[in-house]
Amino acid sequence: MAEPIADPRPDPRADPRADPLARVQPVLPAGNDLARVCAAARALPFDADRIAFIADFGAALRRLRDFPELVALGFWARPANIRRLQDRLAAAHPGAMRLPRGLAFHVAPANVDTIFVYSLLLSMIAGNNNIVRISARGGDQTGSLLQVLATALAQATPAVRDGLLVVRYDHDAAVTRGLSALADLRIVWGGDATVGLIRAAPLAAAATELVFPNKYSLAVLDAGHWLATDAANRARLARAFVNDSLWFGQAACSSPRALVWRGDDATVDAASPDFWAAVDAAAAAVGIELDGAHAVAKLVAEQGLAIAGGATIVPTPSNRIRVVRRPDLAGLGHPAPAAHGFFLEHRIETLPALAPAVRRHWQTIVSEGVSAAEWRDFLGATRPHGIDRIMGFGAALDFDAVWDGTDLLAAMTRLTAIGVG
Amino acid sequence: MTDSSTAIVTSGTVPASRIEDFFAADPFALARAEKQALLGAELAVLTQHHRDHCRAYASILAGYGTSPPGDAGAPLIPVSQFKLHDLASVAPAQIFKTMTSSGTTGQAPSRIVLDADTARLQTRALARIVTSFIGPQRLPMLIIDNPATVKDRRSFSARGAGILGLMTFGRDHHYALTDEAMAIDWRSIEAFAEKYAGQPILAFGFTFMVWKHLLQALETAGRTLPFSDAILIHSGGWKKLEAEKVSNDRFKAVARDRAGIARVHNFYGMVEQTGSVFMECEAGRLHAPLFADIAFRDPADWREVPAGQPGIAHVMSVLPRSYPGHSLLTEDVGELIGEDDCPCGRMGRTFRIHGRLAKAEIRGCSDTFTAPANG
Repeated sequence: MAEPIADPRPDPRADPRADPLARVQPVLPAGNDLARVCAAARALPFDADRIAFIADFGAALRRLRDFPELVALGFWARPANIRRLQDRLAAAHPGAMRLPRGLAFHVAPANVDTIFVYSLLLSMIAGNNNIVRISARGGDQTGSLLQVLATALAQATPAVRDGLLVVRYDHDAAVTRGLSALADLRIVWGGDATVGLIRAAPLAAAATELVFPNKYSLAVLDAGHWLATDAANRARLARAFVNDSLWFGQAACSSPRALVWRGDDATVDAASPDFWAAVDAAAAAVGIELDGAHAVAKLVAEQGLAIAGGATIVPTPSNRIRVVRRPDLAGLGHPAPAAHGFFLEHRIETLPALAPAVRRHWQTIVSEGVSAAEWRDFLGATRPHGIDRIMGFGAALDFDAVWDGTDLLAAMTRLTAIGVG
Repeated sequence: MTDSSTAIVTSGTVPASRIEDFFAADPFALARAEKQALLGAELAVLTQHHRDHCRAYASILAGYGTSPPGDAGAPLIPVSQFKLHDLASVAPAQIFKTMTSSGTTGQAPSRIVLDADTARLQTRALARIVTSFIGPQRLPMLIIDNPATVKDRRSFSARGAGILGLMTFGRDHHYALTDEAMAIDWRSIEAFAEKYAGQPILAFGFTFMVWKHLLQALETAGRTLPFSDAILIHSGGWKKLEAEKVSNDRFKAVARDRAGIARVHNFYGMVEQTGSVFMECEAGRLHAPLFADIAFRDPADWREVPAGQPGIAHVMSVLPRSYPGHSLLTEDVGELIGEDDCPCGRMGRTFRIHGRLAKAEIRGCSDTFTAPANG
């Protein structure tokens, strides 16, 4: 590995008394600190040591059976998947050279959980050095994640270890400013409010930023397709829909909050009760727990929508799944008043009718019975402001390096054009 | 309190309210079949009444169509709906007073509007229930609170309303606490104790305050009160006492040893259903009076769970006329003990409350600083 070019920036630890960065508490890996991660050698994209570390880390995550999200992260980190990313990136600009951006500063969300790890691993793959700010209040899952990370880092090469620093600090704008000033790339999870807060800290002029604001996701299902499909396939789709929506208690950005039926009134009326009964049965079968507080919250929410007017509460077999139907697209894309199996249901006659409702923050549409060609026609004809992904049922939570409309891996690297012969 | 002559307004097809029948009978005398016939019909009358007079309630019923949650006669309304929406079945001019719950931090309080009619029914029902436990005599009364709690008579906190409601069952009221800091008022207590030494008195306060500010203060000071055959009524829940590992038995023992309290009656009630309270009998069970009922429901489908199994408490009351609060889903977990079979001899359902429904963990891949719904 080549020596990095000397960095002209001042040592952040020069005067610990005045320097807000002295308030940063290093968490992982043991022995690393800010000065060292800032000085660490950048790697080339797909550096062999880093790929080996990610493989070990992923294998350890796959053993955490109590945390399905961490297992999923572990599967994503398999060498075969990383190779697929490498091939895809290599195909983009074969004439140019990919290089890391430099130092990345990641702001992880407080409540959950694992999604920021995907962007951390991508940034490691890109060759960047990384500072990750995690929240002081993390659950069991965060604890397990950090434990596995610590173990994997202990076995990694010194170069890999030196290039990563997980930190904690209390809400402190001066620290955020200090870390932002150091960064070549800032990656902010945590929704609109966090993005707004972190953006108050300026980046160096040449630095770039990837932000993950609040997103909204929904499902689109063709009613005729549902009725025409056989029982086994219905059960499979219902199970897939449960996986899309109920992990993370329906709070993941890409979990559908609403179902938009495509079809005429009679077809939708026939399909809807059958679909929700199948979803309820699938939720029961996979053992999604129904918490009393969630059931009450859903009761409050459905009545609140009824009070607001025009809503019908759809009977469901149990409180695992509660559904409120709107006669139009009003409220589609609004923050849902409840989660954990709470859905709004709307109907459109044809796909173009969806266009006026689409908003900039729409992320994932899980869709069945609407072909890729129909979606391409729709996107081409209406050129919507939002919609980042259109996936089959069951794929809502599958993280990909193309996320929120951006090829993250490409954005985390830079291209050096080589125009000589 | 004004005596309202306004009759309950009912539309043509609705059977008339039989609310006076509830006052004609002893509140703990009717066995199941008789009670259910009376109560079920009255709750159905109230459902129709609120549908006719409260637009939001009518929208909820319309939203459910033929499949409302819980009993079809009186669908479940979660108590927190009164925090989120103004639910009134009377015109603003008819509002006689507004009661607010002591909402927990960061939450809007419940707002319950009362017209003169409902307020009067609450007072009468409470009198029927309480005198059935403590007798008709009005005993000298020690209020384990400070006088400031009941100062504003137009707008009541749940605590203020509770005290005012119970005050009518005693006389020569003395307050045991001085000010908002809740310091014990020895001077007031000594004057009261001197006057009524060796006699029965009535004491009332909120469970935690009785424990913390009276009974523990007496223990700490090494003092006792000289009453005999005194009665203590308290309410407000065991949550804080549970955290301090104080059992009902210990509470009663300290009350007896320190204050000469021979009988302790806890009661379960809420600002959303003032008046029709559930009182604890000599056998230690909470009792549904004729004016009210309770069921425990499975959060999976709102079906009633059998006796002995935990469920979310669903409280019914025939009193609320000015707001649609006759059938409420609480946020408390408890269990039915039995019906018409209490050793104390009173008819009706008996139950115990385990505590508050546990709040769920917030998760999501965004919203570090804001509410979790927008992921």
